[in-house]
Amino acid sequence: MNTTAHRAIVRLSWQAHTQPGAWRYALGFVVLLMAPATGVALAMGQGTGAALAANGLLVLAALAWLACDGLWTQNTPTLARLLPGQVRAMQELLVLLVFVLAALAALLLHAWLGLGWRGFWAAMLVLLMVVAVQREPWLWILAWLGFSGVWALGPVRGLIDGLAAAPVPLQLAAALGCALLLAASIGRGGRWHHASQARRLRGQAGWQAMKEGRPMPVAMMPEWQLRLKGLFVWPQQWWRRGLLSQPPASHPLARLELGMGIGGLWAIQLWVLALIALALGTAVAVLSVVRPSIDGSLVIHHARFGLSIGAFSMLAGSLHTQLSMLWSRRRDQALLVLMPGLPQGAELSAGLEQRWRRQYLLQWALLTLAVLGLAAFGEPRTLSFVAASAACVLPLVWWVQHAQRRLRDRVGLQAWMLVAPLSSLPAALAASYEVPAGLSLAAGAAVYALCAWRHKPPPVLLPFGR
Amino acid sequence: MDTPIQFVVAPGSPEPIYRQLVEQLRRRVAAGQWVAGQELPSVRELALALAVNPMTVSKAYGLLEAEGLLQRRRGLSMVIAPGHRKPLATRERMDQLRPTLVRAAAEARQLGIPPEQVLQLLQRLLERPETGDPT
Amino acid sequence: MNLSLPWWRTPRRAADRTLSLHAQTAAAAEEPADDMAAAPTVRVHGLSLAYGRTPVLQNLDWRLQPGQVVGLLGRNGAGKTSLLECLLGLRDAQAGEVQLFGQSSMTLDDSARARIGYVPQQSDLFEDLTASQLLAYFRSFYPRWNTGKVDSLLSRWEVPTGTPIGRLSGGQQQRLSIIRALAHDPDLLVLDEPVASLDPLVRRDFLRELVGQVLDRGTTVVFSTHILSDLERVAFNVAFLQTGRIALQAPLDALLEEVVLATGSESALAAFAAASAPAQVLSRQAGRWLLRGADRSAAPAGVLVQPAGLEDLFEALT
Repeated sequence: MNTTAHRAIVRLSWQAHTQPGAWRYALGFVVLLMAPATGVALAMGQGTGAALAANGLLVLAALAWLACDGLWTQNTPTLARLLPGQVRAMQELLVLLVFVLAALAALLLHAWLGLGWRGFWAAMLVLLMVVAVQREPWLWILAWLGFSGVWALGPVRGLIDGLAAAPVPLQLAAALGCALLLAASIGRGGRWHHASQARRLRGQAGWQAMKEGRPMPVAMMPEWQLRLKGLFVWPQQWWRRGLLSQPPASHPLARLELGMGIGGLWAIQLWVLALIALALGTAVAVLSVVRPSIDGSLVIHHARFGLSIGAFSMLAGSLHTQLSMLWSRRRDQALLVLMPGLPQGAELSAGLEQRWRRQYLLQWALLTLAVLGLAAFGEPRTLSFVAASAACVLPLVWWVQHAQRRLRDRVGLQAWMLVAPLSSLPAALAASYEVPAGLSLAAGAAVYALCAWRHKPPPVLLPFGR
Repeated sequence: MDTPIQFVVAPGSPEPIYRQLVEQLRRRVAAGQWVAGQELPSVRELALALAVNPMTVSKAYGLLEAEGLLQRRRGLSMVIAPGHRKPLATRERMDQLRPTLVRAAAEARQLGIPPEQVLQLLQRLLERPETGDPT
Repeated sequence: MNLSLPWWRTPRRAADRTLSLHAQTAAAAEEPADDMAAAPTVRVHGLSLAYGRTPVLQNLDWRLQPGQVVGLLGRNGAGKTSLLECLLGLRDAQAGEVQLFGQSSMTLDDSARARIGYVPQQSDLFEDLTASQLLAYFRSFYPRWNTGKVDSLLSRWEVPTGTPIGRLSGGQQQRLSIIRALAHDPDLLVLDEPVASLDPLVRRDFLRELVGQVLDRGTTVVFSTHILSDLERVAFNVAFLQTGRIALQAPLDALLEEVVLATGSESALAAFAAASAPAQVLSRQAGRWLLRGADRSAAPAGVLVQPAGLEDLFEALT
């Protein structure tokens, strides 16, 4: 056993996780679930020892996730083939880790629920699932399907009980089987390993692109994904062709958007909206035929969340990337911003902002019309709900541009992204008081006008020489 | 007077590097710049200094030794062989220069320059060299 | 130093070194014969690789003797990277076998792996680690690790050891990649365009390092590069990759001496080629033919014969 190799592997797992800052998520997970876990333990009337054991299990789960996660960064096909002894050391380490964690978990489970050997096998099963899901993230779908239906729990429980009650040689054989499974999960540079690594890199590229507010790089997409994307994206291509066939030097700001890759998104949104409306309408029509007893308006009323929040989240999503794209890929964007024919400095900033506000208003108007039209087939409460959420979302553009113009637009989860979901609260209030649609819309328009009145020119001028 | 022994290679010329080394040494010795008894850098030193494959250097040294220009000593680096203490007679030196002149003459013929002009140019260059001779 | 000896047996006397090098030179001046005494470091036989339906390598045979420094030349997209990857067992080929140190490249044991150094074209270093952390990681796997060399190279090539690798420039990452490959004193070095982003000074220093490796340890070096001047200095043999096979592998000196570029009209060239009968026509282009083994002085009037440089060979043979 080459302990220096094992130490090196563990050190690397700590130094370079698959997701940077993964330990922060793990910590958040533990902290978030600490109270509920303690609550559950105390509610079962078992005292503080049980509560501690429950929390210990949480920490163990987070540790297990982090420890196993750190292995996959170093399991690349090249290293597996060229680094002497790495694969073997990783296999030994993984098996050791999983067995130790399962034993610890068994102890804690025994302290909490008195499960005995069943605790060990249950923990082992969970750990095997963790490893599998980390190795091949698409297995999440299977896990989710399996556990959303509680039907899986019965046979699993039977399996755990059976294993715990089995004679020792059988348990040892099962343990050996688990060890072999774990050893097999470490890739050795073969074809599957290459494919798995390619998937992993694509996933990381997609994640990175999402964080930077860019679309997924085309080079990393498999063929079927590109075709699927094409189904949704064709209006943008159509807009692009239209713009490029115009005489050159016309519509400079539109061309700038084209170069930045965000031009014509409104066309896609309209298309998606049309699809959704079609889908919804078809669903309602089918339902009314198949189950005439069901009231269509009730269905639409129940769909009010999806309708308003979904639609307006889509709208809000188009906002957040706009200015940040100018400085996420500064080299090409700087060239674009310096194109002849473009306004310079303050005019450029103001021009872009105005253009984006106009686009936003137009999209908002169309979207609101469509959504209100659909809601009109529902109950009066639906109309109030939808109108209120539309009104909440209307002044959003000022807030977003306020942050963007001060270059404080860090792409990622931001407060304003939650506006659309959070607007369900005032919308629900409006629905319960049956506030007329016109009133809420007028209120939204008033806020918008107020922001417009207080509008000042942007403090930072483009391009800003980064 | 003997100048320190330094080689220069020019990759990219059609002449293989070992031949460049051989030619350089021949010319220096013929001109009397490197005299008998002067130590040459070892294969290792020269290969590292020029960033050149040691086998190339070894080949060059081997050829020069076969020609009699270099002498191997046991346990020490190669030296320029005795018998080259004074510069070669003009006749041998002319033989050294001959290949270059053959090439120049061929080029002059291709360019269609009359011989008198070529000789005038050569005269001028010999009296006042415009560029230093690197080898 | 007798280059076919194992790495730990190096004779001490300089005279022995030059003597044996000379003898080796005489032997290596010809193409490697099949009955060479030393076992080949790399032996490729019938290697065929295709991506989907596009064939990349077709029935490729190759052999490298210990201590050889071979430059691999080929156009962009000719399959150099694929060939080097197949060599190391990083890519499964459809047919053929590759043997490194007498073992199949797919199933190398740890001792063989410890003797291989690889510098890939795209650096695959861990972005979140610092250089010293990365080297410490690799150090724990290799039995031999030349700390002195690593430290001297890190300082000479100015690679910062405290910054995360993701923040280093492309050139610095490449230098680190090279240091990582040299650190464990490998017997086989495979380099895939290692100097593409290095400035000329660092390139020269890197070539010196290579030369030092070859001198001290008799490392077999295979490297692919587009910088022909580097190849001319350091490579003793050159292999040309053309349409999925090694079109020609020969010592560079011999090639440069024997190959001439003949320009003229087609008929004159044909006559010249026929006249220098055992000479081999390596390539024919409009008015420019490359001949190997032709007698320069026997050129007829209508044909201009010049010695060929490596660029001409590259153009003709790849």
